[in-house]
Order: sequence, then structure tokens, then C-alpha cells
Amino acid sequence: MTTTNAADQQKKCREDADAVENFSKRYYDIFDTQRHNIHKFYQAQAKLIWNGTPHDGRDVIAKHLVALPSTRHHIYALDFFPMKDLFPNEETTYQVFVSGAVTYGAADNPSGPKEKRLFSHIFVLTVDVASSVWVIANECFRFHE
Amino acid sequence: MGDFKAIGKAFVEFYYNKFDTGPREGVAALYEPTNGMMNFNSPDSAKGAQEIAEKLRSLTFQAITHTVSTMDIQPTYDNCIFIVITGVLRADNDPPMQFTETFLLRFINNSWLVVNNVFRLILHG
Repeated sequence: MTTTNAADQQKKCREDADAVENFSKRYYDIFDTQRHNIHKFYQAQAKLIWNGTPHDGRDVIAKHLVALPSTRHHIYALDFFPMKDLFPNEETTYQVFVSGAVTYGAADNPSGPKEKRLFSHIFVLTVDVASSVWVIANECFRFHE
Repeated sequence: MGDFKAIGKAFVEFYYNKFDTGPREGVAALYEPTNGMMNFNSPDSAKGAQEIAEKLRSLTFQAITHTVSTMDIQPTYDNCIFIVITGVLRADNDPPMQFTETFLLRFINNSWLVVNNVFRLILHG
């Protein structure tokens, strides 16, 4: 009985880890190429602080993100940490930590100057109870000057 | 939630002040004693106040200063506070290095304690 539970747990851990990694990579892909779909990555009551400005709720967040210039993200490092023990009353949660660089305006003006900025992007991912889909609950995005 | 921003700000200032003034292993007391986790440049980590104190003692620098550039504070599940910091640190005479650090705080036994902490040096650019 104990062995079965431990093996099942390990399997679930690996599945969750794969899901989190896939989610994270897809996020930047969609951000760069299908920005209008970015709202799908968020929980309804998600919170974002984008370079110091808070945005509350999926609609507000999506509106802000869609208005940004076109982007190309380059991911240098991506790590994630399970937070299950931290929120025993919640569904599976992970903290994802990404560092990279983002180029703005690439698609709008291909031959023009491009602004490239280093960033740190941290988000708390959880499984939405209603839809069983991974979504962002808390998020923080900061440029490094 | 109350004034989570004031709580977060006060905690961060206290934490780095304690860390920089030394002895740095004193910050271990700010972590949840059994399960509080510190995660270093992956996959290094320490769990519980004792391991965290040992880890901090084992680091090879003598002096350190943390300078906070940005601090973002949000309420999250279970009345916890989620803090993301970017800044610059200087260890001994080494060149300054950029870092990003997160703290997840929970109110336990009348104190705000760290249940999860992730530290990353930003090595690109």
C-alpha cells in the first residue's frame, strides 16, 4: 500500500513538473506569436505586478499585456519549485522563476532599432479547480537595468 | 490581509540588515523552523532553520551588502505574502552582482516567517 502511494506520488510529481515546464515555454511562445490568447494562461482573479504597476484580474492583465509592442523572448534560465507543502488547502502549486531577455518591436519594424531588455519573471502556477487547467495566480515581471 | 505591503517592506529591510550586519546565519531564525526552505542557484537548497544556518555559515565570503533595487509585494493563498526583489549584492571585494530573490511569508505564532525563499544570481548581460 505504502509503496504504491509513493510510486504514484512520484509519477504525479514528474507529470506536474513536465506540465509546468511545458506551460512556461508555451507562455512565451504565445506571448510572442499569439498575444490575443494570453488571457488563457491566467486565473480569473490573478494578480500581476509589471515593473511595479499592479494589475488585478485576468481581463485587466490581458488588456495590459496585449497593448505592449511585439516581443521576442529569449529564455536564459527556467526553474520551478513545487509549493504543495506550503498551501495544503490548495491545489498543486508551483513557483516558476525565469530569467532572460526580451526584444520589443521586432515584428512591427523588422529593420529598425530594437530595444532588448533583461528581465526576471516569477509566477505562481496552480491548477484551476473548475477547468483542471494550469493557470497563473500570482506574477511579477521586472526589467533589470 | 491588512497592510501586506508594509509588512513585506519591513520584513525585507530587517532580513537584509540582519544578513549584512552579521553573523549572516542569524537570518535562519526568520524561517519556519522545520519546513522553511531556502533555494539557491539550482539545485542547491536547505530546509529548516538548522540546515539554513549551516548553509549560510558555509558560504565563503566574509562581508556582504545587499542593495534592493525593486520590491514587489502581493497577497497570495492562505493569507501569505509573496515578495519579489531585484537588487545588487557585493561580497568582499568582488564586483557587484545582480540578483533576484523571492520570499513567501506566512504568519505563524505571532511572527511573519519565511516558508519559501528562492535566490538567483543574474549572470547574463
